[in-house]
Amino acid sequence: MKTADPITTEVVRNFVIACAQDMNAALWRSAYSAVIYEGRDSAVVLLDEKGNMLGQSTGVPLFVGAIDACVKLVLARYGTDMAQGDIFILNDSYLQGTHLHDVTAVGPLFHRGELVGFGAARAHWQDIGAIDPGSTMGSTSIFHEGIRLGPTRIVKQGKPIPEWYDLLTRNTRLKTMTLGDLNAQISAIRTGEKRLNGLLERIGVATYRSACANIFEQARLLDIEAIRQLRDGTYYREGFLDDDGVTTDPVKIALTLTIAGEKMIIDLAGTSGPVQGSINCGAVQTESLLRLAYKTMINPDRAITGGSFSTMEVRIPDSCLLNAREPAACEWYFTGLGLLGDLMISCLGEAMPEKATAAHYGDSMVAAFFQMDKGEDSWISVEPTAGGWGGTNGGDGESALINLVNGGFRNIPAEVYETKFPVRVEEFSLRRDSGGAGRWRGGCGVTRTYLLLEDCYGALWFERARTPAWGLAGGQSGAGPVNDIVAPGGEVEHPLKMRARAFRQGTRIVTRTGGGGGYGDPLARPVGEVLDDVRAGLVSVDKAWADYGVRIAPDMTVDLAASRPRATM
Amino acid sequence: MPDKIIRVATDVGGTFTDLVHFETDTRTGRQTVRTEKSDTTPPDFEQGVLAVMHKAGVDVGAVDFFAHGTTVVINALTERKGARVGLITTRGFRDVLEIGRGNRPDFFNLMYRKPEPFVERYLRREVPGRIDFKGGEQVPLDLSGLPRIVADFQADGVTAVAICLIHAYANPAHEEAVLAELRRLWPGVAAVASHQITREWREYERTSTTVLSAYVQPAAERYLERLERGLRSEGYAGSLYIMQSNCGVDAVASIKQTPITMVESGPASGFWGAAELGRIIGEPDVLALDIGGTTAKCSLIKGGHVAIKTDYWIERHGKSAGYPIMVPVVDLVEIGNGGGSIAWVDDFGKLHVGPQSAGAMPGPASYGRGGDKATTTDANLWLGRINKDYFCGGAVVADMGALDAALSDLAGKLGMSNAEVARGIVRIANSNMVNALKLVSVNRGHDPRDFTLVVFGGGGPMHGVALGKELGVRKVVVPRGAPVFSAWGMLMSDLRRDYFVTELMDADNVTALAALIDRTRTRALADFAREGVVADRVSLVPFIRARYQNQEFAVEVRLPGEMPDAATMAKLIADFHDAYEREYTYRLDAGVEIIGLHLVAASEVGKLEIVALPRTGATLEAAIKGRRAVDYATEGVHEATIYDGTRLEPGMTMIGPAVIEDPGTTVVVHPGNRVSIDDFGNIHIDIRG
Repeated sequence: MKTADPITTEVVRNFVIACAQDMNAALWRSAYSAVIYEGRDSAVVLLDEKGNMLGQSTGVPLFVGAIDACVKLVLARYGTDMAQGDIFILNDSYLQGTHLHDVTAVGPLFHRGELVGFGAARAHWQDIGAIDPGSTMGSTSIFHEGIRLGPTRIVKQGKPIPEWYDLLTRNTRLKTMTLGDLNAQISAIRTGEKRLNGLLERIGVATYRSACANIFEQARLLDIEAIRQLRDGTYYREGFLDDDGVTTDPVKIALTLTIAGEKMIIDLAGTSGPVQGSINCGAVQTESLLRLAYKTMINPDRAITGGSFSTMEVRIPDSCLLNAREPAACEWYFTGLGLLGDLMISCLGEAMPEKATAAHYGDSMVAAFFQMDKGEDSWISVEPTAGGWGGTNGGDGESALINLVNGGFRNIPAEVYETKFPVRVEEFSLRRDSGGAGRWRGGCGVTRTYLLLEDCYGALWFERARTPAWGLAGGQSGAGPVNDIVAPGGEVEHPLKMRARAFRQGTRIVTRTGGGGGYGDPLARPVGEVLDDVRAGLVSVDKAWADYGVRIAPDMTVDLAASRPRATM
Repeated sequence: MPDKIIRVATDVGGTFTDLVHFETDTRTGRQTVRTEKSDTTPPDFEQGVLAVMHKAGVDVGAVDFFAHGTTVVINALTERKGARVGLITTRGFRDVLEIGRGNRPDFFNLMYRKPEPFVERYLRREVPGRIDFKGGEQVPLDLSGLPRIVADFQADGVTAVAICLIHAYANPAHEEAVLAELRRLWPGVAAVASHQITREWREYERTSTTVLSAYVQPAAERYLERLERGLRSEGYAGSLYIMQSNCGVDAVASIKQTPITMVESGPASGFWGAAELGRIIGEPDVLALDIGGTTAKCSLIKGGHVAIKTDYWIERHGKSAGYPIMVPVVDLVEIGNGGGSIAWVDDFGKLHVGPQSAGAMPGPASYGRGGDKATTTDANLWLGRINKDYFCGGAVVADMGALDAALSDLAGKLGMSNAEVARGIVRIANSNMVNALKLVSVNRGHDPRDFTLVVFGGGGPMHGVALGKELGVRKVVVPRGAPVFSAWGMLMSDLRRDYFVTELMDADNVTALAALIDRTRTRALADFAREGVVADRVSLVPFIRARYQNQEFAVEVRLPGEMPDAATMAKLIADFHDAYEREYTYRLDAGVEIIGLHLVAASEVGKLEIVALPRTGATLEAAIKGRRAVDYATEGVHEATIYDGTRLEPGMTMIGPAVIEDPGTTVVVHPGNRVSIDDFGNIHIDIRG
């Protein structure tokens, strides 16, 4: 076998990452749904012929460790029964871990007749035939949530299999969009095939495989070394979700992290069992999220490959909302993942205090509006909302940033949004007093206000009122989310999770996401920084006094005599 | 008719200010060219411009056409040396600038910092009033708060005001009213409203663009005034044309209003030059690559057409979302790989090249100015690709000891020899550049094998053949004047403006499209009339931006004809499907909608037509400097013939392995390559053997 020298290995490493990025660019450019092309709710991966990840490009880091599992499922079912030009899809929540909207397309990649790898592209399909259009809000069983597919061949040697396309289009309310998105995914895989073949023409398959083996081994050794340097011990954190969207019972997430030498064990014992609402999550996705949290603290600048995470062992109880089994509902599977990630990061923070940060606002904070009774003119808008991040030892938390799991998700410009939907965005601003007080203040959440210009339906899915972003090292928690629905007549209510409801034209929906936790004692924050925050309108005069002990006069000067004494000025 | 026409272009770069001086004898048609370089002189850049003209002995008073490109705008931005900006925006939207798009490109970084807004929050102020996307007024504008805003801005030391209101691209009435009232309340303040720069949607991108334009406005205005004054005082009486990022020049008066359009003026003129070169040598499909000291930039030219887009960002990379600037910029990909890019080994024994650069100080290790890190230039020198006895055109004595030490340092970490490391550096730099070239070609549905690779900048000719081989291009062309090619390209530029307008309509709405084109044409002609260019000298080419219904990304298709009718629309839609399929690999049986117009308005203003060089009868042998061993990385070591580039003439041919040495660059010709010099002095390298 030809071996790859270090330079060739480096050329291959650059290639696999560039290739995955090209594949994702092809997906984004040709996707039909805004949630993919603007929201970046997608991921693509280039893998070796055994399904080990080589290069990836994800719009949302949520999927960092989940796609290779799908490829292995396809391999397990079809084995050698695959040919050039084949495309397989799957979306089963219990197999791939997320909700049925996430459809993963997998294509074997051939070079001169030999299987040399796989390309995979996951994208969020807007409508997969659930009881409600778009995202269901009240499902209590997977059978409410749409069509469910195990690994299924839908394109054979480049030719779509008509029966499967027929089945897919019959099971969605958005037929053109669904096919458009599927085409975009296939286009991404074809892009990868072209690029990989170009490389193999030059360096040959043997050298390529040798370089891949080097890449895997380097990643494995790098992770082992990093874990070895962590402080050994057992760390425990728990928190509560507001509810499961159906009942009002709090839902517990518990995580025990054990670090022993080069081994890391994560145990979710103590976490609530399966719930009636749709926040159950498959084990593959739970593990993927833990990989994401791990990656924020350990070798964040290294590419993830098939050699990563080899030292990480995850134990999830069989009966657990984070290990969903039929018929548990999974539509809002990611609801608990923000909290799970924060808990894991918090445990890791104890094992490596120099990198610890306070918690972030935590969840996707989804506002959805739709009108499906208008035939061709029907519309759906679903968008997650940014919020505040935790303070760190040396910096305030960032404001108005998308949550941990959503990463590349970009908000939809009001000027674009308003051309698509009869809704006016009246305000999109930083939310004052939402960042947790601290020597380093938590970042601010946002206020986003919608005015409905037509009768339509609306739904909300906001989280983390019960366990808002906690502070660290004496810092305070950030504010949790607060929403107002103001009816045309002036009546106001404040729902966080709200199933789809009809609203009259003129209804105003004010959404407010939470802030990040503060880091360190607020009384150690220099007066000048508190004053700057008040001047900028990020902290109120009242909060400057209540949280920071700084008296600020109406003319924006500090009354030092009336302020509480502090270490730093 | 005067007996000669003199055209001068100057290009202010990060390190050097370049000059190209073309004198055309109007009786014989014969052209004489002079090029010169002198130091760039921040912060008074105009001093360097005047200095390079003196150095070249230019008789400023005799110049007929003067074109100028400058990094003054990008410098002010990257060095944060601009105005204190106050922003006026629509109620509810002052934080658009800080929220941005809310994304975190650096996924695993819990401490991610967004790009810091160029306007602090307390200087971002709001006015009530709302226009909708169709341009209708939903909430009337209320200017009663403006005096207070102006008073606060003045008290807080604001020196430039940016105005950006929601949906102003569809109807600028409210912005115009704010601007007029602002000027009344605060005469003389530097101010710009978004509609003056762009008529496209997306409030964050447009606000950022407006703010950055205001940020550089006072400095750019001052600079242009000083430059103009300097030229006038030396007797220049003609128009001063400034290179923009859209490959065209514009008159200085309109540039002062929206100086942000200069942001990529240097690269733009180089790519324009490559397109013009392609036209002259009969190669309309060109991959153009400009390798400078710190970066490499590339762009694809199809059918002689340089793509101009408004999706341009600064400081955007894997660690930062960057700042959008929504002005017409040549469609380019830039990577942090240039001659000065530093090679380094990470803590896991992997070799990388760039994006850190040794810059001009200390520069590559072999400059002997204290640099102890090996760069791409150093690797080329070690491999014999660059002549150590003719380093930097003989201006620098290569410090081979420092180079040996720098390479040995890497070699020790990698367990390799110096030569292996040097080859590795060249291969990795090439691999990075190939990926960039693929981004502009393969990724957009173009097959590089159909293209000619045109390489310029100091480093382009050194890597061109290796890259061309990997891409499979037919041939590589090194243009005459390659090291100063940006300035060269300016002399071939037209007076040009690109009008991008967002307006949604169905593809069968010929009336609405005709009205949009008509309105935009009228605007363009009025703008040109202000520069004294009459309507019949302006060419107006409409490109339609269309997409499948409900999709986001549009492709641009040229309207066949000046105004739409049923027949041209049918052709347009057919072209749209083709263009879409090329870019996205499939076509759909779905409705098409138009999202707007891109109108290119251009007029020739003294552009240069290159003529053939005379042949003196000199022989090829006279140009041979000698022979030396050259390491071709993946192709081994070969004894190459060394040529003096200044002595090559049209009609000469040779076969590689060879190296052509020019004072500003080195052309590496691989074994078996067939080289010919064309009538204009360009070097053609046929790499298919």
